[in-house]
Amino acid sequence: MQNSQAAKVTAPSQAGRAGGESQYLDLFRSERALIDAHSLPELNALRDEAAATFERLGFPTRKVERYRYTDVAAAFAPNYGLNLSRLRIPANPYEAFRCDVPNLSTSVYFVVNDQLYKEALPKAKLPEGVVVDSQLRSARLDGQPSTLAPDPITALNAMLGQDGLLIYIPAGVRVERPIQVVNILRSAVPLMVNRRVQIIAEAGAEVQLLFCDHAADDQDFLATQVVDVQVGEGAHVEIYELEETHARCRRFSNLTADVAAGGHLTHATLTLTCGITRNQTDVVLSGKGASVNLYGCAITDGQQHVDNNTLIDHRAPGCQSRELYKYVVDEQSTGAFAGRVLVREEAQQTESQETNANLVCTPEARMYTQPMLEIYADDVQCSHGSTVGQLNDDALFYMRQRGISEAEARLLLKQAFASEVINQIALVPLRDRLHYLIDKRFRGELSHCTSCRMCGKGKI
Amino acid sequence: MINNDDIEQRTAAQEAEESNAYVRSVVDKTYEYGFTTDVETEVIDRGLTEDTVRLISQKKGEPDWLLEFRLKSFRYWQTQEQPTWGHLQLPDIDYQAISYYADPTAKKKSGPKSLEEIDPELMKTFDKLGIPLEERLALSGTAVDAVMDSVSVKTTFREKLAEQGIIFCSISEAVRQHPELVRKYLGSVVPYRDNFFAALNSAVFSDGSFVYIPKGVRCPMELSTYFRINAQGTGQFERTLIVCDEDAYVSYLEGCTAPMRDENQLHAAIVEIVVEARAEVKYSTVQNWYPGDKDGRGGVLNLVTKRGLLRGQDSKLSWTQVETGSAITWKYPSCVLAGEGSQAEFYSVAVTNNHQQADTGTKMIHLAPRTRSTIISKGISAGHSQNSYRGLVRVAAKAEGARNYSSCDSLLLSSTCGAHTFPYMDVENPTAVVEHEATTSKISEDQLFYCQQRGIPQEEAVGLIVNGYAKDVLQKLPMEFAVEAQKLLSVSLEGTVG
Repeated sequence: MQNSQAAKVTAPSQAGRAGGESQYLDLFRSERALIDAHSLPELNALRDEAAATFERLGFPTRKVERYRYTDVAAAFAPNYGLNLSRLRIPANPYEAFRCDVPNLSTSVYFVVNDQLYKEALPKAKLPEGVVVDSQLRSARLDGQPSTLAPDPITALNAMLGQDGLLIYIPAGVRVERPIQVVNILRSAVPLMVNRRVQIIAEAGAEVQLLFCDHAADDQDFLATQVVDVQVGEGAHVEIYELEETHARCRRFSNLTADVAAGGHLTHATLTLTCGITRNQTDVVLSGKGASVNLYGCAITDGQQHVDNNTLIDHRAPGCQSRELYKYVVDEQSTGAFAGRVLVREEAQQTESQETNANLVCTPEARMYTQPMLEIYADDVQCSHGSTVGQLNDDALFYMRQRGISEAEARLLLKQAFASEVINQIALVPLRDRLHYLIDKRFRGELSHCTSCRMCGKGKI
Repeated sequence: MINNDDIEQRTAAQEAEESNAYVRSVVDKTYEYGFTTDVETEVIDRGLTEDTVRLISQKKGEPDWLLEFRLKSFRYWQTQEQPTWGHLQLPDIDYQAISYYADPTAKKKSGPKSLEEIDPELMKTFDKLGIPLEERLALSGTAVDAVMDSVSVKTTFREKLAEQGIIFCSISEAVRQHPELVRKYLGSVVPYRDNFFAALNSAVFSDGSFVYIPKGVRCPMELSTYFRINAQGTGQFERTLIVCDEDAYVSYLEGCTAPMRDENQLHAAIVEIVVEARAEVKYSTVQNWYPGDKDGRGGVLNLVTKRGLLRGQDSKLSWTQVETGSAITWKYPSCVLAGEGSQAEFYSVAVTNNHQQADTGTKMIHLAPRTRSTIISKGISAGHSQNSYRGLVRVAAKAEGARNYSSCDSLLLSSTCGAHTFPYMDVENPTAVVEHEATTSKISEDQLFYCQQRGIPQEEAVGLIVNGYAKDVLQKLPMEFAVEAQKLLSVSLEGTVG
């Protein structure tokens, strides 16, 4: 079964220079008909412009300010397969997979690679008018995602992406049960996945979304994800992204959000295990009194690399933004955080707070941090703080005095450090679950993939 | 109750109007230090070629090794492009339209032998600036190596310093009299390949100051140089080299005012400081070059590379700068902490008004264990100006127990200006502790209200608050500089606010 699947997966051309942009451009040009045939007109209409943008920009080098901490070209260089002819990957996620965040009374949807797994839809009905579906069936695209500046990864995603997810909440509807989307990377060969996710919350809508990213096979994966979020007037959207993949996964996620007047967006990125992860989060506060909270927590070890790059663009008066990112970088891993808060001239009465705190645990670990403020309005209160350091010796000593072993004491302190972010999560069962997961993560148990039944041995 | 509210509101509105009126009156002030001295200047033809570099070297009678250094730099500079990454709108600079050498003392080839021989016009210029030459020198106890355009006009107190073995002279003189020292240290902190402007300076530098403090000597007075850009259309390319040998101490002051001009003047200087074991250097700058007029025409382009190398164990270097002038300021006085236990400090107040732009900050590069650095930066922006702090704190893998504290505050005084913070922290050692914090706000209404409650008029209250805001930095300035700094701040800083 695996062999036949591998044979039908289209591999990018090797003709171009290895690892360069050309392997993707060549693939796009030669397989255009196949890509279009298995996608929808709205997405196909964007491809030419996206290809032109991607060709013009190329993979960002480290000289590009926003990408200075992640070697993009290296991550895209290997030869991945793409499932362009949309083969269904035979796997029942219910049997094969158990997510680490169960029993939240959520409506659970599974997305295998980039396709909604429609054989396993939640039984509970969503409120009238709410749509959670594949882009293929119910796309409401109206152009390119609202990036602030052309982004090569976003362009590449638009050039090759064939499907994704649409979450639509009509005006005034409150979704009681959180919607949980489990993204599963599943393939027998190295695979590239391009997902396009659109989240639209109309005026006054309320929704909580939880995305869990997992890799079900011990395989090389490259996932690009473009998430476009529209928060309508007075709408309230909470998005939690939890990543638990493995060292052979590369994730490039570009989220752009537009928050209208009085709207609120909370976005939290929790990276527990991964290979190379880069999350770019761009939020535009376009209406008066809009607010955004961005939270992030990354726990890295081994050769992991986590790069969170955020931009909050205050375009209207009276908006609030709050950012809190915490990293624990261990072993030879690398953490990077760059957060830019832009307050435009018309955005008076802005309140903005940005905090980044990091623990560096070994001499080989690297932490780069860059909290930036760019302010053109005068009636503002903006602050940012950033620290890089290690555990407090006094606190360690105190615990050791009381008979707690050094390892345990370190663990407790690291947990306390990370829980400041976790405590911001409004979804109480998720918060409790995350405390548990983080405890497990620090004990090194998560990397054994205990939650996944098909761990390592490939027993499906 | 309702009546009271009404009254309060009206009073607040009136006060706001009054303060606006005052702000306008101060904003409308013209540059007080703008004047031109009519001094005969020997200017070489505009343009920059290898011949220009040879001509400068020949005019200064330099040895071959220095000419080689210049030519190497020039050839490297030709391969480089002007950087664009600053948060600045840098106008196109036509490097071929600049004259690279101006010598105000050329007509007296032998140089002035006494005070009477110095061009009286030049002396008047210094008088206007209040530079304590002559009698005032003795009173102020300051040795002045006055640089007007490119050649040192006069060096005072030389003998007194020489008694202790301190060398304080122009770079050209140092090249002639102490070639071994200059050759050893020139380009050792800022190599000619460092950046575009450093390469340019290395190729065409005309003059500057050289300071050498021998082992164990504590320099008995503050050393200072006043830079002025005077001849029209000449870039000034000073080169300052300070070497502080083991256990020595020196405090060096640099102050600048430049006359009013309509075209941009390029200023690409290099300051190199070498600090040996247990030595201490304090470098203070007050920079008040012509910032351009209200509409952003003219003004000096201040594109400077300043760096200190803390070579020895437990050495110490402190940069203090008050930046009020220049149309564009683009500089990062930096410290390379290579000696174990070395300490570096950076204190800065940067004020921008009208259409001024500043992208300034520091780099603290921790290479050795137990190194410590402190960064205190205060930005104040008004008018249509853009004021950015950009700083790098790098902790290399070997810098065990390195410690950095950075604090960058910005104060915004108009709704059309910008204040930006771009801190970079690269940490490669787990025992390092690096902290950064920054705030941006306008003057706190609570503080203003508190002062006014106690009978302090708004204008004074604003002055008090702003003074307090910049105090951390101002109190680091040596006493000798306090007068000039206060004078500058009263024009550029307090006045603007209210």
